[in-house]
Order: sequence, then C-alpha cells, then structure tokens
Amino acid sequence: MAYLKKVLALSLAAVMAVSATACSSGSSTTNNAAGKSENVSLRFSWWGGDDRAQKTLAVIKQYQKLHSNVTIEAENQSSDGYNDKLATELSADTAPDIMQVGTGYMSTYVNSKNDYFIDFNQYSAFKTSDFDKDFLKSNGNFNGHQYGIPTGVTGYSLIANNDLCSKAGIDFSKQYTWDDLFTMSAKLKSSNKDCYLIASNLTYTVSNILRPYIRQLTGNGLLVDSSKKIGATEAQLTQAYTLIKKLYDQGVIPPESRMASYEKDNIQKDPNWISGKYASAFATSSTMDVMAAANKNVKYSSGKMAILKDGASQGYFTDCPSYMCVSAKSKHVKEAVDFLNYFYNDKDAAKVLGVTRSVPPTKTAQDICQKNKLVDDLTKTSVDVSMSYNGKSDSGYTTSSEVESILEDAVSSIAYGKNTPASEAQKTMNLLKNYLANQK
Amino acid sequence: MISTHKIKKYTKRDYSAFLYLAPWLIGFLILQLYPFIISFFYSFTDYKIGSNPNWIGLKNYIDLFTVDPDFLNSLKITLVYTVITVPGKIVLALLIALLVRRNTKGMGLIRVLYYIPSLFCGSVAVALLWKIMFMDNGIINSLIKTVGISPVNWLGSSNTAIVTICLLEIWQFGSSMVMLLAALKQVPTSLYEAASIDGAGKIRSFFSITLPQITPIIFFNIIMQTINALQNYTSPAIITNGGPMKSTYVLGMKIYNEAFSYFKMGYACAVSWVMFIVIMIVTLLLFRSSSGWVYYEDSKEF
Repeated sequence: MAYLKKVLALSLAAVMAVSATACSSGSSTTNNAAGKSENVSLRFSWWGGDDRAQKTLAVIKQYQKLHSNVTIEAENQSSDGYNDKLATELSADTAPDIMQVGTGYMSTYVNSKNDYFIDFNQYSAFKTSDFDKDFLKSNGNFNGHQYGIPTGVTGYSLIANNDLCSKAGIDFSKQYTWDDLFTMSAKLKSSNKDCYLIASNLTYTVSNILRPYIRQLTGNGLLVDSSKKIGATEAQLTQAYTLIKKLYDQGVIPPESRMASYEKDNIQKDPNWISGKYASAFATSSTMDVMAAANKNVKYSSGKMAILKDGASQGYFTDCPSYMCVSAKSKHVKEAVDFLNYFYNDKDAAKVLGVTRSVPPTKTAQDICQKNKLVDDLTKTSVDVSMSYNGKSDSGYTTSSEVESILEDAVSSIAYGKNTPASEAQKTMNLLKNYLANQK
Repeated sequence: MISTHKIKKYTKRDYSAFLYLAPWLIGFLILQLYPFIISFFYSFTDYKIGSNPNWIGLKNYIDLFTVDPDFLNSLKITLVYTVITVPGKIVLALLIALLVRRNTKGMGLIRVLYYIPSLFCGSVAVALLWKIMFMDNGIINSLIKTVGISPVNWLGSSNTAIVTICLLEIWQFGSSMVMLLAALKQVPTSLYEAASIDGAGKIRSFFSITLPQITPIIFFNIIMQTINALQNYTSPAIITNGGPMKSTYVLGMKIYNEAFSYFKMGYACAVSWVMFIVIMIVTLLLFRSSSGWVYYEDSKEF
C-alpha cells in the first residue's frame, strides 16, 4: 500500500511537472554561460498571403546567416482570426517576441494600460533617421511612446478599369463629388446595362464610403477617442445613411444580396470583377495589386476618391497598414530590436521585401524599390493620390471590431431595405452610446 | 464467511484507484470543472481581455435582455435551427436506415457511402465546400438551371441562408442512421410474423411495431442532436458569417464574437450561461415527455 502511494505521488508529480512546462511560454532558450554568443530564439508572428510569407522568410534567413546564434521562428497565418489569436496571447503573456499588429486594434492594446509593447524610443539600436519624422509621429506613436513601427505607407485610392471607363466616357482622374457619382453611374448604365460604377461589399462600404463621408461631414471620426463622445449628430448620420441608400437604390454599387458570397477582403473574387463589369472600386494602396491581378485582361489606373462639396475635411488620409511591435515581456528585447532594425533599415532586406507590406516607410527602401522596379505604378500612384488629401485618421474606437459590426449591421439593413436611414441612425446612436459607456 | 470478509476489505479506501483515474481527473479538473466555475464567476464581471475583472452583479444578464439588439434574435435563430435540423436529420436517417436494412450484396458499400458525410461533422473544410456549392455561380445553381428553374440566391437572402445552413447539418445524418439501423435489426421478427398473420400491412406494422420498438434509440438521438444543434458554430461562421442581416447569427457565433472579436469575456460568459440554461431546460422537457412515448421492453420506469 505504501509502495502504491509512493508511485501515485510520484506519477502525479510527474504529470504536474509536464503540464506546468507545457503551459509556460514557448520561447524558452538555453542560456549559454559564455554570455555574449548565447543562443537566442525569437518568435515572430505576422499575417498575410503567400507572397508576403516567402519574402519575410527569406529576410529571416538572411538575418540568421549574419547572426548565427539567433533563430527566428516564424508564426505566420492569414488575416482571418489573426487578431483574435494575438489578443489572447497578449493577455496570457504568451505573445511572440516580435509581432505585426493591425492599426485598428493598436489603440485597444495601448488603452488597456498593460505594458504589452516596448517603447522604441528607448532603444537607440533601432535607427529611425531614415524615416519621415512626422510620419513616425502620427503612426505608432502613442502619447510620446513609439510602441509600433509602421510597416509601410498606404492610403485611399480608387482603382479604375480604364477600358470600361473610357468606353463610357467616365474620368476618375479629375476630382469629383459624391453627387457626381450618380450622373457617372447613369452614363455607364446607358451603354452597359449590367455594369456597376463601383464594386463594394459590406466591409468596403463601411470603411471606404461611410466612414470617409462622416469624416468629410464632421472633420473628425465617428467616435472621438479623447472625449469619448460621438463625433456626429443623428442628423449627420442620417445624411450618411441616406447617401448609402441612394447608392444601393440607383445601382451605383451592387446589391448586398449579390455580394454576400464575397465579403471582407474577397471582393476581387467576385466573378463580375474578374470579367470586368465594374468600372472601379474604392480601395487602398495595399490592395491595389491584388485587385488588379484578379483580371489581367484589363488596364487599371489609380483615380481620385469622392469628396463632399464644402465638407469639413477631405476625409482621406495616408497611414500604414500595420505596425511591428516587440513584446515587453520578451526575454530578448535587444535581439528582437536588432532584427527589426535589420528588417527596416538594411538594404538587402529592403530588396527582398519590396512592397509586400505596401510602399516601405524608409527613404532608402523606397529608392531601392523604385530602382529595382519592385513597386508597380499602380501602387505608387495610389499613394500619391492619397497624399493629396488632408483628412485625419479615425483609427481607435471607430475601428474597433464592435463598432465596425454595428456599422456593418446598419448598412446591411439599409441595403436590404429593411429599415429607413432615419430609424437606423437612431438605432446606431443608441448602440454607440452604449458602447462608449462600456469603455473605461 | 468468505463473502463478508471480502466486503470488509473493500470498505477500505483503495488509493491506488486514483492512480488509474489521475489522467482523467486532472483533465476534468483543469479543462472542465475549473473553466465551468470560473466562467460563472466571470459572467458577473466586466472582464475584458487585457484588463482585470470587476464585479458588476447582474448587469451583463440585464443588458442581454434589454440593451443587446442581437441576443433575442440569436436565441430565436438557434431554436429555429434546432427545430428544423433535429427532426429533419432523424427522419432522413430513419428513411435511409429502412432502405439499407436488407442484407443484399453491395449493401455494405452503400451504408458506408451514406455514413461518410457525418465523418466531416463540424469541419471547416466541408463548410467551405458547402459555401462554394451554394454560391451564386456554384454547382447547385448550375444544376437548378439545367432543370429549367431560375437560380436561387442561397446565401444572399435571409430565408434561404438559414435553409442552406440547416441542409448541411441534415446531410450529416450518418451516425444517427447507423444507430437506427442497429435498432431496426433488434426488432424481433416474431412480432412481424404475428402481425402478418393478423392481416396487418407493411405500413401498419411499421407504425405499430417498428416505430414503438425503436423509440429508445430515437429518443437518444433527439437528445444528442438537440444538444449539438444548440451549440452549433462552424457552419454559420464559415458559410454566411452570421449574415445576411444576422439571419444566421446563432448563439455560438455570438459567444465567439463577444469573446474574441470584441474581447468582452465577461459578457460572453453570461451568454454561454444563458445558453447552458436553455440546453438544460430543453433536455429536461424532452425527458419529461419521454414517459409518454418512449417504450422500454424491460420496464416502464427509466
């Protein structure tokens, strides 16, 4: 009996030990007594397609060749569910050492008052001299702390189907207003009945039509983070919803029931886009090449975005598609920072990475891309278009996934004609008030 | 004398049993009991990912029924989904089981073919396949077109989207079919012989003999399928993402979104507990009703 008890105690202890080590962070490394050349392993997570994965892996390999004591484990996946996973890892203290973070989510992390990320300002090993100072200040800098380094420059731009536009006599290269869209659409439909002026699904309608329109109308975002107030009145919101209803009703954008199969970032998979039945789409510089690649028979160019006549601002802005951050809980912050310094500032790295995370943020990398023809005209001109607008980013509460889905629900209810813009605006206002009341 | 001695020995606690139970016990305590209790606690807090839980009493539960625009809708959709899929699945399983009951040549292969879909139960791959099949230009619409009916926008309208999701669940009737098949084979042939001597037809003997004899298995299937259906998440998440206009936004999706997209863990726990209570009530009602229609050969008590 006593023997059995001993066996039981030992085996239980063994099970506990195994489960305890399984729970601890995966980035455990063997510390070498020698000190300087200790073996370091870093975890690096990002989201993105195949092209981005291959280029990033190639840069990791180059870096490891130069630093034989460092191993970097890649944890890459598609954008779907990336943030859900990262949020869980951050709160459980099992986040990777280096991580790509979406701009829309960053403020949630910073506002949560947990020190998740290091402040790059405190690490001189990371050279910022090649970045545009203002760009760095408005991207990834929160109250003076540089928690994230922008991965590239991206902005709003229209992608125009040149063939269809020139046939119908539509010119997107000159500035136009929202009202002009209806005459342009009528012009297109008179010659091509089953064509649409602008390709848009729920996600696109909210982020490329509704939110910019509200910014133009009010000069700020729908929710103002600093005061925790709603930045638009119910009348203004009704006005925005009315525009959207009109866009759907007159067939300027395709009916939502059609787009249900091509939501989120699947818009270029719509057979109508592939067969060139859309004259244009409101897009961003980081998605231009994906949109263009879906239909190689057509020539595309970047065009202007719609603005509001006598608006408070032009509503469109240039920022970055994502940040690179280093976990404050990382055991090897120094090495992680050194890798990112290579990732951003080294010429060989820039040559490999190209524009896989949009036009790079450093001057040197931009020149390299241009010289080696790594950047296509479409992406480059789209950034130029975006730079010409003076809007301010509404990233923060407005871009949180909860608010995003409140707006998507409202737009879909309008698109299906279930509710009037006025009553939908009232409903949205109540939901937003409730959302803000829950933010601390 | 010997027997009493044996009994005495076993009144002592035999600790070695815990050794063999340890793997399950540890799994149960860490992965089931602990989350169960902690989620109940969290449902009374404002716990968000990245911040500490603060006690807020019943606020989450009150918000659910007063402020939340989706909760009652989600509850309704989940119930509708269950009411369509459970009977649909069991009736189809029974029909196919009756068809493949006979032991003719090649029947084994046919049974396997019918069973295969339920092996993919809850899988993402099959949900993706379903989406592609029911898309605007998918295979289902092409088939419909060849028959001469105008194509249906399966995923783009509220009424057809829920039907599409239900069809996927009903299609995976294999495991119910296997159980019903076993039950059908257990029905004594003497009963059928007696019935045919008394002049009962096939239909009469099905309703008077077959059906009552297999009610325990039908009952078991209803319970299991109902619990499964109430917890469904994968198919609406992959195929419709809850749309259009939240017409397929089942409770499982709501819990996931509240927890992992909006980070409102406390609130998500409250939704889970309401779902748990709903499942308990439905299961209890089913058990209550069973004494009226489930037939057990050995005794009337269960």
